Amino acid sequence: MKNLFLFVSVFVFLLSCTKENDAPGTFLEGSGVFIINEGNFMGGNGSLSFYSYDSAKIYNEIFLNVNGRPLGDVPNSMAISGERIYIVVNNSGKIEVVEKNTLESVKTITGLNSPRHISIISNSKAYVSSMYSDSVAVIDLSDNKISGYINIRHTSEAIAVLRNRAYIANWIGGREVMVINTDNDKVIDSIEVAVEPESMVIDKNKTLWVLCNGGWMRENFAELIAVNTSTNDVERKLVFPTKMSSPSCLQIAGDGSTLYYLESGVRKIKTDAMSVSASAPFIPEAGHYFYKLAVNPVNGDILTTDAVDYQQKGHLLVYSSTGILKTDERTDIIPGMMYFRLNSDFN
Amino acid sequence: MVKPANRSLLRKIGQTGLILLICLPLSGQDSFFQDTVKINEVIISGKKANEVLAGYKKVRIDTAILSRYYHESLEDLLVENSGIFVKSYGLGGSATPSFRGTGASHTQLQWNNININNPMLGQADLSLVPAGLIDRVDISYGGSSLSEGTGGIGGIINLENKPVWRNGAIVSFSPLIGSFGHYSGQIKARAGSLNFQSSTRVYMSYSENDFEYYNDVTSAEPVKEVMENNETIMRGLMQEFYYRKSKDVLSARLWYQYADRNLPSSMLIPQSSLTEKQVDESLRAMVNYDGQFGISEYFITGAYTLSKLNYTNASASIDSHNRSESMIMKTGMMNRIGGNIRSKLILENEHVLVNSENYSEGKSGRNVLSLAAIAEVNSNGKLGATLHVKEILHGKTLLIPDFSTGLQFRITNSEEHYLKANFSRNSKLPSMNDLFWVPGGNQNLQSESALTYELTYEMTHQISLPLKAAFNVSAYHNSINNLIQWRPGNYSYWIADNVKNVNTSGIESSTTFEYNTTRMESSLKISYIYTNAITTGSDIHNDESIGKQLIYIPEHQVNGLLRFGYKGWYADWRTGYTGKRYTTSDNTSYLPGFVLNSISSGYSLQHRSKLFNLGLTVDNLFNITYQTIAYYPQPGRSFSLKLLIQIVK
Repeated sequence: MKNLFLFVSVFVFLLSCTKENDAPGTFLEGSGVFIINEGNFMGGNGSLSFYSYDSAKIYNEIFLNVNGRPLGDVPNSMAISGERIYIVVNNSGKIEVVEKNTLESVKTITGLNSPRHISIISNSKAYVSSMYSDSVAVIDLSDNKISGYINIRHTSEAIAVLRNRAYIANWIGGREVMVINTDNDKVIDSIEVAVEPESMVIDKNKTLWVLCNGGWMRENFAELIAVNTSTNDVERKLVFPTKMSSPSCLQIAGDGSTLYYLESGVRKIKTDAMSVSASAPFIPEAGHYFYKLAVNPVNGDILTTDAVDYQQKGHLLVYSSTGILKTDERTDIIPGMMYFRLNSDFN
Repeated sequence: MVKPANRSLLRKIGQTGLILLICLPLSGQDSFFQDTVKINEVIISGKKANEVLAGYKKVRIDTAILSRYYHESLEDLLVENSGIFVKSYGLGGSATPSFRGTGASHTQLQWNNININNPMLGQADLSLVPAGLIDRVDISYGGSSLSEGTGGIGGIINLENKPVWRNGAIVSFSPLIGSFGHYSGQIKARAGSLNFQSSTRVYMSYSENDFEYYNDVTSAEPVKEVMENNETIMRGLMQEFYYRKSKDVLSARLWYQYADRNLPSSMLIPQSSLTEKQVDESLRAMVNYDGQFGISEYFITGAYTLSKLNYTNASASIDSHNRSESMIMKTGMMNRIGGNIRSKLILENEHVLVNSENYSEGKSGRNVLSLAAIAEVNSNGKLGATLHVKEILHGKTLLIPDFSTGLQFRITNSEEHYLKANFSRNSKLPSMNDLFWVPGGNQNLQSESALTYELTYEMTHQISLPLKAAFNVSAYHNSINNLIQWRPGNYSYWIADNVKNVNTSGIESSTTFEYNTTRMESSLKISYIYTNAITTGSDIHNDESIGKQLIYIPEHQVNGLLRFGYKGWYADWRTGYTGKRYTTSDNTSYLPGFVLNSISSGYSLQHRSKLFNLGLTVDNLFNITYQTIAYYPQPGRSFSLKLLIQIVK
C-alpha cells in the first residue's frame, strides 16, 4: 500500500509539473538556437528550449522530455564541445552533460559552487566561473570531472578565450579582468577595467571588449572598454552618458565589427566608435522587458528574450538584422542565454 | 453553564453593558478536551475594539481548540481550523498566510490588537508563533478588520491573551516528543487573586526535522533522501500582569521570542551545499488600560516591538543584519447613545524605524496615524447596521479615506438565523522594503486598495436536546487595485511597482453538528472554501496572467473534523483537501491537490486538584507525498506523544 501511494503521488506530481510534452526528434540535428530558461530562483523550474530554424518552431522542456527529470534550479549557461553539450545549472551547483543530438544525459558534474558561465578551452578542458567562489573550476572533458581550480581572488562571471589565453571577468563589486594561461591554468596578468565587468566579446581585430555596468548601485558610469589582447592594455574607454545607463549582454555580429547590447532596447555600436551616443535604441522594447540578447553569426538575426512578469512563460523574439520582428515564440519561465547550433548549410 | 458563584458578577456586568467577551468553558469541552482542571472562573477580556460588529464575519478559535496545539505553531492551528491558506516551506521553513486569495502582506497579524507584522516585509511568519502562548485567536475577514487595524485587506488575525480572575495558582507542565527529532516543552504558571493576576509561560522547542522524502527530480527514478540543514531551535517567554479595580483593568505584557533556523532548501539543490541560516529575535511589550468613565468605555495602549532578522549564507558570503522597531500608541472610546446605538472612536499612531544595511544610509523610518470612527445601530437584535470611516496620515500624506458599512438582519425571532452583508474600501500601505530597499525600493508607490462586497448567512439550530447544528456560508468579492509587485527594472535590478489589478471572489461555508449527552460528546465539522483569485489588469506587455488564477492560491479547500469523547477518553480525526495550486502566473504548471489526514487520541485523568492528560497524534496518517511549494518536500507520517500535568492550588 505504501509503495502504491508513493508511485501514484510521484506519477501525479510529474504529470502535473509537465504540461507540455514536446517530444524531441530530429529537430535537434538541424540548425537552431538553444534557449536556457532560468526559471525562478529556488523554484526548480529551469528548462531548456530549442528554436528550430528548419521548422520555424520552438520546442520547450526538451531536457525534461528526454531525461524524465527537470534540468534544475536556475540553469545559466551552456557550451557545445564536439558531440556534447554542457549545461551549467547555477543554483543546483552542477553541470549537466548531454549528447548534442539527443540530449540524453551522459553525466552530471556536481560539487560546483554557484557556477555561472562555461567556456570550452580545448577538446579536453573547460573553465567555469563562479558567483560566490574566488576560484574558477577546471573541468576535464574527457572524464567529465572537476580537475582543479584557479584562484583568481574574486568572484567571476564572463569568460572569453583567445588562443591560449582566457580572459575572466570579476563580478560582484569587481573591476578587473584576469588573464589565464590556458596551457598551465595559471593567472599571468590582470587588467583593470571598470566596475562590474558584466559581459565580454572579442572582435575581428582580436580586441577584447568588456562591458562594465557601473555596479548595481549606479554609483559609477557604465563603460565599454577595449583591451589590446597582445599587450593586455586598455586601448579605449567609452563612457555611457548617464549613471542611470545600465547596459548588459554585450554581443558581437558575425563580421566582428558591430557590437550589440541591451539598454532599454537593443542598441548597437561599431567597434571603431569613439563614444557612446544617447540616441534611441536600434530596436525599442515596445512594452517588452528585454532580458537577454544574442546575434546570429551567420544571418545577423537579433534575438532577445522577454521574461514578462518572471512568473510565466516568456518569449523569444527574433528580429532581422535590420530590426524587423520575424517571429515571437513562447518559451518557458525566464528565458535567458541563447546558444546557436548552426550547421554548415545554414544561411 | 455559568457557575453559581459568578452569576451575580455576570448579572452586574451584563446590566452595565460591560460584557465584551465572556468565555465559559463548556462542560463538554472540559470532559474530553480537557486541558485545565475544572475551576470556577469567569474570563473577561477588556478589548473594546474586538467585538463582532453587525454585518460582519468573525471567526474565533478559543481555548478548547488551542489546548490541542500547545506544541504546534500558529501555522498548524490556522491550517486545520480556519479557511486561511498557508504557504509553507515545510517543517522548519517559513509560513505565510493568504486570506481569500490575497497575498501574505494583505493579512495583518496582531497581538492583543497591536500589529506585529514585520515592518520590513509587511507580513508575518506564522511558523514563528507558538500556539501555546496564546489564549484565543480572532479572525476578522475583509471589512471587519477596518476597526482593528490598518492594512488587513484580506483580514486580521488577532492573538489574545486573557487573565483568569481567581484566587490561587495554576501550574502546568507539558512536554512532547515526536518524530524527526522533535522535542518541546512548555511551562505555564498563573497565580494571583480576584484583583491581581500574573501569568508566566515558557516555551522551548528543538527539532532536527530530518525527515525522509523521495527526490524525484534529480534523477529519473525517485531516490530516498533525508532532509539536511533543517534544524530549528525556538524559545519563547511571555509574562503578563493584570490588575483590576472595580471595572477598570490595567495590564502589562511582555513577549520574547527567539528562533534559530537552518533554512530548508529545494530538493533540486545538493543538500551538502546548504549553508543558509536565519535567526529571528523579537521583543514585544505593551501596557494597556481598560476603563469606564460615566457611560463611556475607553482603552489606552502603548506598545513597543523590536524585531531582529539575521540571515547568513556562508557560501554566498552574505551576513545580513536587520533590525526594526515599532512604537505604537492606540486609544479608543465607546459610547452608548440610547439603548440601540453605539459609537466608537479609535486613534492609533505607529512609528517605525528600520536599521538595515540594505537601506539608504542604513536606516529609514515612517509614521502612520489613523483615526477610525464607528457607529453601530442594533434594533433589539432584529436589525443591525454599522458604519466605519477611517482616515490615514502616512508621513505627511493624507490618504483617501477607507470606509465600510454592514447590515445584519435576524430572519426569525425564535431561531438563530442571520443574514449579514457589508461593503468596504480598505487600503494597505507599502512595506518598508517596498519603499526603502536599495536597490529597487520605490518611494513613489501608491497604497494598494480593495473594494469588498460580502454576504453571509449564519444559523444555529437545536434540533433536539442532544443534537445541535450550525451552518454558515459567505460569498465575497474583492477588487484589489495597485497591487505591489517587484518587477525587473531597466537598471539590472528589480523594482517595487504598482503593476496589477486583481479580483478575488469566493465562497466559504461551514457545517457543524454536535451531539452531547452527559457521558458522551461528539461533533462533526465540515467546511468548504472556494477561492477565485484572478489578475484583471497589468502594465506588462504580453502578460498572459490576465484572467488566470494567482499562483499558489488553491481554488478548492475542504476540511473535516470529527471528534468523539467518552468520559476521559477522547479521539479526533482531521482531514483536509487542498486543491491544485498553479506555480506559474499563466497557469501552465501546477502542483496537484492532496488530502492530509491526522488522528489524535488520549486520556485525561483528573484527581482532586491535579490533571494528567496523555495524548498521541499521528500526522499525515497515510504517508502521502505532497508539496505546498514546488520542490520543497513535506514530511511523511509522523508521531508525537504529549503529556500535560497540571496542578491547581
